[in-house]
Amino acid sequence: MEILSNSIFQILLLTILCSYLPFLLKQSTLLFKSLIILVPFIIFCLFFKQFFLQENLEILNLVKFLPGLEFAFKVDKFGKNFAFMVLFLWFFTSIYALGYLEKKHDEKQQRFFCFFTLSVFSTLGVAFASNLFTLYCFYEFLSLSTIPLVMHNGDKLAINGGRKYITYLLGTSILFALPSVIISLLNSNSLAFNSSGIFSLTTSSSLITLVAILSFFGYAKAAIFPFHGWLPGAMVAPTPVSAMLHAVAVVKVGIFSQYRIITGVIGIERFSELAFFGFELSYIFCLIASLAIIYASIVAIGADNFKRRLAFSTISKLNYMILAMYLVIPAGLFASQLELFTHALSKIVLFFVAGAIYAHVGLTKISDLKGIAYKMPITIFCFFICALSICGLPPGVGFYAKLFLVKAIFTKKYLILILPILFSAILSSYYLLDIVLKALSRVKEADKDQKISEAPILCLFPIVTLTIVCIFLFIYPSILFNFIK
Amino acid sequence: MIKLIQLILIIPIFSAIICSGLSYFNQKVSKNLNIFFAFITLCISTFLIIEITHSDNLSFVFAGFLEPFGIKFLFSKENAFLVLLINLIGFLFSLFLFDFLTHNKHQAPYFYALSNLFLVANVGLVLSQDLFNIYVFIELGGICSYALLAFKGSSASFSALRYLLAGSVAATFFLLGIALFYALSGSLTLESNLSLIETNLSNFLVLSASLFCFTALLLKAGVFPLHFWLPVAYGATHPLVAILVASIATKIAIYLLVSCFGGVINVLLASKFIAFSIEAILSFTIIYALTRAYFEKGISYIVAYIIVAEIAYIMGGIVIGNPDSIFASSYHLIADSLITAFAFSLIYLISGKGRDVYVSDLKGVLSNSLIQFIFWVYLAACFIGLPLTPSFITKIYLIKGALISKHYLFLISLLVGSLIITALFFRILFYATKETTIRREATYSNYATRLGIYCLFVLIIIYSFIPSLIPLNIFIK
Repeated sequence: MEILSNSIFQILLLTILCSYLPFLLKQSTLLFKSLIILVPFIIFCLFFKQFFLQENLEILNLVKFLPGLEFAFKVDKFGKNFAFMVLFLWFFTSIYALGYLEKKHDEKQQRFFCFFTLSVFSTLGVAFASNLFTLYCFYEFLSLSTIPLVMHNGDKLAINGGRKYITYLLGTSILFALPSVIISLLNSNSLAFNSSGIFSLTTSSSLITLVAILSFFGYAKAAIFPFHGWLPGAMVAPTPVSAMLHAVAVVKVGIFSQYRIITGVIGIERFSELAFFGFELSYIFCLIASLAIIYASIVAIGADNFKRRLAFSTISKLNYMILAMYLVIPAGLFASQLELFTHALSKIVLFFVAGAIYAHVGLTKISDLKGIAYKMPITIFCFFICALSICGLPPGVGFYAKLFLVKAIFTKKYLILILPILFSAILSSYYLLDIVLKALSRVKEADKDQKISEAPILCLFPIVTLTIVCIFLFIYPSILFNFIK
Repeated sequence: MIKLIQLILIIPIFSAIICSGLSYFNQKVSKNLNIFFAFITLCISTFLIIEITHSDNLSFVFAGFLEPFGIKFLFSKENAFLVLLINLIGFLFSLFLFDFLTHNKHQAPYFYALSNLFLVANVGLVLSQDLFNIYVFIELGGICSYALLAFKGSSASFSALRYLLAGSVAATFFLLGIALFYALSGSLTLESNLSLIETNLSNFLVLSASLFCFTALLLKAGVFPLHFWLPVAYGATHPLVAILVASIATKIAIYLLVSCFGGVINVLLASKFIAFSIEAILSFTIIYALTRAYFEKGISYIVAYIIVAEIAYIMGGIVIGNPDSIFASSYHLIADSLITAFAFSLIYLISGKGRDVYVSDLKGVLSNSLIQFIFWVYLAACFIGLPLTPSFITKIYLIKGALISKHYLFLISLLVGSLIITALFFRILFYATKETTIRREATYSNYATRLGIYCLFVLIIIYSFIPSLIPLNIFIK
């Protein structure tokens, strides 16, 4: 009875139960659509009431397998914020997905929404996990529950993309993350996250270094170089999946897991002392992230496929977060969180726009987008604002994230790391604003007079709303800063 | 309570007789009755396991036969789990049988008799406290399993013949061992002979008798290099039969081997050279068997080779010999039984009318049946040892045990084995996600079969959550 009254349990249970609801109704009916929109809304409201209005910081010890190995949940500040972001964007993505799938006359909507909800459930599990074991279990469950979504189209391209997705994500987690969990379990009394780390002072540094390295490459959902290949491959998924999962939930779960490893498993102080062949481990990780930033930015320029370009942009920005995080200082962690939230908010709009254009006019190549701004002006305007945010330019909220990132780099005095950030900022401005310029360019004079025809309202509503939020947060950044602090 | 324990042995015998006879007259009633009897036995086992946790171990003499020829049984906190496991598999098998016999009516008497007697034999092996009774139950279980394994005909008959030959050699060895024990101690009870082993193992005759029995059980358990019969017997047989036989027979043989003749293992391990050789053999077994599994095309053969590796895991835990590793072996003995049953039940589901199933047959599982896809993925996760599978607990404790006792060779083989099986997992997953235009052959599966598979799936998950309820050392007789 005690468990049943627990808020974390209620939210997790409600989410997993709701994943089956789509199968109970016939798709495309009004009830089905209402339910798809209402479920995320109700869960979000419940979450907001329990954890923001009542400041409920509960603990839930669900199952104890063995001493030190338990299924336990806890709501802390970062976990709560992360869950808030996922639930907030889930609501908008559900609306968008309905519009998108209706437009595409998709016949597998029930399965789609079932696994979509399961993915959100797994993400919440990661957000609420209070120990490494629980986090790992939900991390894996997220990989498995998103496979049917990536392969949703069922064609050869989707299957190949799905296989790549499985290979990279499950491969790295089994080969690297799982051994790190086992090593941690064998060398500590408990896997529960602790700000000073789970290892005792007597644990050898080389063992902790090994755990850090295995964890770094093991949680490849964060598009860790060289295990980032799954992200462009997974873009074969329907756009709502790419938007929600591959720009928000999945990739951010990777970042979130890395954050937990630094702050909860190893501990910030201990981490900054770790070295590998005489070099600071955090510095090595920052260099790897820098390499990924440069690489992904260069590849993004050459990508003509709209979603592929966005995918490489995501890889680049995820590595911003990794770089900031592995500075292993409070300012870096703050910048990393700021980038995480602002990137999610802005990037999801970019994906929505890519999907709206595809669903509405069937275009997937950037080179074919010439003149589209005259047909879909609101959509392209929203894209422009959010692209600015991603580039770190006003009036997008992403501006602050880049600002704090640079500040953190100066604080840590890793000045060399400014170069990839600058380089990437220039390149990302080029490859994202290039899309806007293409959309504004006219193929022929007649384009000027073409009739405005925006995407369906269900697709347009989330795009516009989230863009407004993006601008609003730029004007009132203190809301975001207080949210994170 | 004693009466209830006796019922566990009597009900399947009755079921074998009544259901076999009745099936000639009324198929429907006999099928339902078989499930009913299996369910009752399962309920009694469940009740007994709850009862025994609050009371002392129960020892009793069956039908009043006393020493030296007495039929003595012991129901303890340790073996109660194995009794429950056997009856659980028995019940699930009766569910699978329900649909199978709808299409194979003429096979009904054969299956009722053999499956129930096989279950009795194995429960008897677990409970028996008498060497001669153990021999009788080994023979009874052996005969039933030969007949069941050969049921499919053609290649399965030949494989069963190999099994029969191996079983006969094992039985002969065991009988020789018993004869020697009887000559030495004048008694056939396990108690007196175990104390003889403990105190006089340096005596040549005692050692010979122990080694005869020990070798016989090694052969029955399919421990490398005496495993030669196992992959062909389980790989070539009908998957329905494998659900019952593969999940119980070898596990019970391992249980007997360790619980009755663990003293022999200790003597062997006293020599550093032998101890290292055993560790090397077990390490090699894991890598060899899993590599063979990787290159096999038939799924039954893949599972059969994985069983060989799993046996090595269990034996490895025993050889390491610290509390962590022994717990790993105890826990995995039951886990592996459930996982094996689950694996063969999934093979049975896609085997149509019992044809051989190849990895390529998994094509299109994702698009045809999402639930089946999830089951296959979970099965693969079980073999790898991912969290929320029982094998995860096993591997954690095996690694811990190996680290504490510095059995690094075994540890390396454990890790390499996990890598091989991960590669195998991806191979299976890729096939499952492939598109196929081939229409699936009709299967015998219906509601009862599906219920059985769902039950197994849920049970394995539950089992992975309750390691703390499992005795730390199940190998106590």
